[in-house]
Amino acid sequence: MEKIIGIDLGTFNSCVAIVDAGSPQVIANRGGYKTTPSMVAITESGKRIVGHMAKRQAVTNAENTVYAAKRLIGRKYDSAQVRATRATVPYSIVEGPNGDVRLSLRETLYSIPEVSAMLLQELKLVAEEYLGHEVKKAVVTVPAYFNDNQRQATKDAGTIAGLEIIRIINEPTAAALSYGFGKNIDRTVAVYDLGGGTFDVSILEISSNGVFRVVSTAGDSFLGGEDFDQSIIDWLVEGFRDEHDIDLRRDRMALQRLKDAAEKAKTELSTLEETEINLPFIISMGGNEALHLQRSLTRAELEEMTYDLIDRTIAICEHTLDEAGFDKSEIDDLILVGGMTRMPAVQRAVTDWLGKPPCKGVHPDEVVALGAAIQGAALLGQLDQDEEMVLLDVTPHTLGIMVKGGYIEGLIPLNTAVPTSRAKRFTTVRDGQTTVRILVFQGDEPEAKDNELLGEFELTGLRSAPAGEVEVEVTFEINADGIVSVYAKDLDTGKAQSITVTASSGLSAEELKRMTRAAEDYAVAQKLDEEAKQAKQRAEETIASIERLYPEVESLLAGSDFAKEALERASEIIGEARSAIDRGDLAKMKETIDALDRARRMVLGLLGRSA
Amino acid sequence: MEELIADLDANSMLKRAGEVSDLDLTHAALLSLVEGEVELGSIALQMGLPVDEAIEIAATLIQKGALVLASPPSDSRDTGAGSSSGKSDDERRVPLRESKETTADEGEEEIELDPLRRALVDSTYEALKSASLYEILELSPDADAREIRDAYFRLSKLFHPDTLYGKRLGAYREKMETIFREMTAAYEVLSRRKRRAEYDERLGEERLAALRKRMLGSIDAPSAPQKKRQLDVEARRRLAARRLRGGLSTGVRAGARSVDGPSRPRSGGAQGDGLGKLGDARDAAQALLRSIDSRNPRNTPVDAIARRAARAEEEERYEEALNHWLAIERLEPDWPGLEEKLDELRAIVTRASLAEYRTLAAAHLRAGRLREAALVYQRICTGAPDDVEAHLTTASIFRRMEPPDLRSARDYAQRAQQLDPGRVSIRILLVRIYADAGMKHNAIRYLDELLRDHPEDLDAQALRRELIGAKP
Repeated sequence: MEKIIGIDLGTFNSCVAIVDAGSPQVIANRGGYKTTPSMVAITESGKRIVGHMAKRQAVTNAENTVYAAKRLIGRKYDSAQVRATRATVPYSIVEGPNGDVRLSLRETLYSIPEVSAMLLQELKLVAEEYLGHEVKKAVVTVPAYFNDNQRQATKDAGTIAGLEIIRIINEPTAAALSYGFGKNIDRTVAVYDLGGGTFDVSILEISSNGVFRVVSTAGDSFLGGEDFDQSIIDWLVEGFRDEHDIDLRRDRMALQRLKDAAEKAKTELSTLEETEINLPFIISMGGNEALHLQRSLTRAELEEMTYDLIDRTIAICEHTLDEAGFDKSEIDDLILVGGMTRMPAVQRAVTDWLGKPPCKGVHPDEVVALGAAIQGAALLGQLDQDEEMVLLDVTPHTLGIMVKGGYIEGLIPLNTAVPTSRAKRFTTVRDGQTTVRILVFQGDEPEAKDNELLGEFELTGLRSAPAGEVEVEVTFEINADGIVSVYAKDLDTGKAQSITVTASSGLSAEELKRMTRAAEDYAVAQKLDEEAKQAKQRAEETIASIERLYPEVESLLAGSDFAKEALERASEIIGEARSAIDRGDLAKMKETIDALDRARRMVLGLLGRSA
Repeated sequence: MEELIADLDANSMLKRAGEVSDLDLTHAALLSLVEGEVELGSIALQMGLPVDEAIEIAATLIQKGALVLASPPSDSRDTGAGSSSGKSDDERRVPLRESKETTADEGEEEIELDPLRRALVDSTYEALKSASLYEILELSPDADAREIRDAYFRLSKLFHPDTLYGKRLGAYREKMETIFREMTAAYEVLSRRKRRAEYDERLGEERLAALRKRMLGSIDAPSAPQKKRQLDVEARRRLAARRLRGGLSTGVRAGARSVDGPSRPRSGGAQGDGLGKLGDARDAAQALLRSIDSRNPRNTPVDAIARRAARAEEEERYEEALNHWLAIERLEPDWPGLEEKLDELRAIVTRASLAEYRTLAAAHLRAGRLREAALVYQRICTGAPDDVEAHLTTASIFRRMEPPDLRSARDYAQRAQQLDPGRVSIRILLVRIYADAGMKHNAIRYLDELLRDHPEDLDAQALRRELIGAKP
């Protein structure tokens, strides 16, 4: 049976899960951790390192260590969000050829999908090592509030990593799937998902026959744990400036240390009332002089400096519930997802808002990946018959076209169940107008320019007539896979045109192909590297074990020509092996390993022992 | 005649066990009844079979190419206020687009969808064109919020394209998407109090009353979604509903394709030469049908059946009476006193035949004919739904027979456990069934629950060792 994995590709931590013998489970990585930091670094030697290894070296290699790439995925370089990120991260963000974002790491440019692909490759590997065979398919989660460009970029990352992402599902939805799976319950649930970088809230109906219906969803893809960290960093930086008149932000290494310390303090304050932030030698003053940073932070102070962030999430919750047309009392269960929901102030705020405590027994870091794995198994028909389920998802954003005056005319409103289709008639706006340009936008702002452009096409050959006389019917359709198609029909002549709107990840088809090939090459190179390392180790071990026997042979068989000859032969083989190791010649190394084994057996034979 | 009926009975039992792959007497009987376009419901009546079983037989015949489903006549439905107001509720909804493939027969080889599901999708899709929002969700205009939600969820599981993800569906994918879209649109209106009231008003009292009447006569729409239901069962149930619902129904048309040459249209009815090897069976079927016909004239109205049922009961032919009442249940579930009557007759029939069944089962068991024993035990369980021992025995027979039917074994064991939740032997059997089915996680989970309740139980401990030890 073909295995499919579920991946929660988080802003700061990622997680991979499968459904094994009907039960969903998270797969631990080589280090035994169930989540892997979403960090990728390029070392001095040009090697890629991912996850915990990347996190460990982040302080000393801050400029070449990428974290929170998810904040940049599928975004335009000149967007406000990218500008905000540039101000806070130590790695260098530059503009790409398509107005997209590229990262400059050790003088090489990387696209965001490429960086995400490195993470996906790592998670794929974790799953493959556990399962013992190759994995080709995955369901990956994204924040509910991701637009189609961001989703497409995530899919591209999968392609580059050699994973077919058969479905992208929303994180809060995945959490609800995992929560309701196999429980046979009829419930209305609210999922509050405050992760490292994004915030989402969804209202779902779960029915006992295994139908999960998303009623409404909303969020902010630029609000998360990192903003809490940032509040602490700002507080530390300002305090330091007041005291020493030095801006720590200008030192990238100091900034990275501040980031780590802020995150640690925030986490500690979820269980402690007060914590100490201690950063000795935070900045060098020339010579042997250095300044230290030492402050204590209380939980109350942290809550004071972040209450506006929490308030923002509650306002979004309120809005979502409104959209769903539900009353607070109609929500049966509250599910908290994401590491930030460990913060007592967050729990308190949500509980106060809904008037009921969150459900216990939901693991905030793992529940999303589990849900993705469940959806994957469900789509491939791999669930037990009792547990078969179907997910009825909605569109998180309004889909529309640009009309006169640069405004958006929505065709498919947000929170519409997919698959869906809607049609609307438009008229020409100018006298004698014979072509209509149809610009497809996604987003909920009234003006087109504030929304995401998904695609455009032209309907030509309209009858020349006074403005308003020629009618065009535009039909939008979203299928179960989330693919958007647009049909435009001239009602006068019956002439029709259609396009399948492919959201743009910022990568052209050629680039995607090239990057996929590069990733494959890298994977192959890495595999060879690993093999070479193993061959080298094996050869060196065997050499050492032979050389250990030399004194014994010499003392026991002194004067024996035969022994002398044998030792000479062994030395010769060892010499060859050493030179192969020095040259890094993998084929030769493999060859000499056999010869070394034979030599070892021969020497052991001289001593009358068997190998 | 009585012997032939007994044969029919045995056949349907065998069929349930998935044993019948080729056409048998029952199929021939049904086939010979079909001339031109006939409603499946009336055929079921004529054969004295429950509609579910008639559907199942027809589905096999469709699969064999001996029958096709007739498309519903397009003008059979009134296209009054309901249809137009249904669509005008939201003028932005797209009218149904003609699908690229218009018939189910085209590109058949590429479509991975069994004929039953196809028929279901086709007939539902056709019916959408003129259906009111209530009809789309198979609801009475009196349905409450809960019923509306349940209906939508139940139907979603049948028609959401994800339920057939990755299958080649050809034009059916689009049809399913359209059905799902229309259902969602209907749900969005009917689930909001205000929008529903507006819709009802537009629909008008007259049309509402007509809908109410029609929906009351429908045979399905269980009030609560049943857990763990098989899709096929749901599909069959739904198909049956469609056939029998007066003007809504489609028919089964004979002879569009022959058994041996699926693409070649046949001239005559089902009695044409294409049946070949079925000739003998058909003759027998004809005889059988003549005798059935003498008792059940064609197209009998329901109260005529009721009269016959009463007469049968008077003459103490209880089994026959029960069959008549079961037919009535399919046609008129709201018939006064129906449920009590069914319960009463079931009890009588069960009591009368249980002893015989038990003797028969024991004989099969002694002779090592496990499969036969299982079938008879299934009967016993139907007759004695509260008999723990019978369920337990049935479950273990299903598990032990070759090849085992673990799904049935589990179902019976679960029922036994429901009846006697505390009994360790039942729980151990369940664990073994799970283990046999390769669901080791479930097995160990259940076993651990059992061990928590009975930590000192030696059998459970031994089983735990066995299971853990069996793990590689």
